[in-house]
Amino acid sequence: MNPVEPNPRCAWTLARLEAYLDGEAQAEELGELEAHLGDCAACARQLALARVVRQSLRELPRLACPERVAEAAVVRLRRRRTAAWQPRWPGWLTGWRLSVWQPAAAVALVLLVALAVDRRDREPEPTAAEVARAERQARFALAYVGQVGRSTGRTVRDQVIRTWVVEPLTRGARTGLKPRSL
Amino acid sequence: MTEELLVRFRRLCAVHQDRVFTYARYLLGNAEDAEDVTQEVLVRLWDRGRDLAPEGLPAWLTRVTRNACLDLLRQRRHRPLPGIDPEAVERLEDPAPGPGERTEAMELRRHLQAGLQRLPEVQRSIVVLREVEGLAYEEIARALELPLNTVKVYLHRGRAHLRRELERMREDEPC
Repeated sequence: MNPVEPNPRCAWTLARLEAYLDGEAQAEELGELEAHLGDCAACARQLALARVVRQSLRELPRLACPERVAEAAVVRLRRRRTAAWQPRWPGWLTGWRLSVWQPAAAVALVLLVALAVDRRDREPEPTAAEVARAERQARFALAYVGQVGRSTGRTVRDQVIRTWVVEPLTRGARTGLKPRSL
Repeated sequence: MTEELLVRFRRLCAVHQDRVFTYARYLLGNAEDAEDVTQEVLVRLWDRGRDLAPEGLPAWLTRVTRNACLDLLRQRRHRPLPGIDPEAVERLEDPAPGPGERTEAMELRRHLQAGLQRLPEVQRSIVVLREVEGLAYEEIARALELPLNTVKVYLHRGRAHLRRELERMREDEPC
């Protein structure tokens, strides 16, 4: 049997056949399509074939993946040196390969070490004379603080406690009077 | 790979491997290549899994599977695609019908599979995703990054091509 010769009406219908089968024909064309399919045996046969094709495709099985595929993937993941879970880097970082970041990190480390060494070199060690002078100054400061402390203690004893506490208590004991409140 | 990660990976495979394998199998036409592609996709899924939103995962899987299949097809450009695997067709047959019907069904599927392999790749992808995997037009459009109408047009063209194949098959049948 020859394939359908595309007279204009049939060609028009066949071009819309699959959409018609899926219920997606344009509403304004539906009436004309159905009318022609009712009149034309060849196009009606094509519609029947289209139904068979669609149904047969839908009956093609969904396949089961063999277990060895997942096992092979496990072997492949285990062989990796890096961890299976990668850290979440932003996209602009993951676009760079490690080959760029490794030398960059190495250069940064070298710079840091160089800066640290340079700072140490700028601060000279104190001389022996400077150390001795610092010790003398420290001893003087401690002695001064001590002297001030002793002087303050004598002042507090003689001018405050004796005057305002001891003597009133002594007088009161002799005369029977209560000492004045401070 | 720790035991816990291994369990997680196997669970991930169990959820997705059949769908990936089915798509690759029908796209490539042979099981061995489909297994290779599926393995590659599962490894990439493990690597990228945490970065993907769950709702975007099916489209991503379809896209990656298709790209992996296309890479394989490009590598084999100088080698013709293998013919339909008769054993595979045997395994696909519906066990229920009687001998006569089984033969006809087998023949029909054989011709369909052969016809699928002769479709342009994008039509083949869409026919498989729509008619075999049952994806909606919107899902296919998202996965293949095509406009919705283009998906419909390609689907209809692909099925029309298969219809013509079926007609030729029936014309060649002895009366």
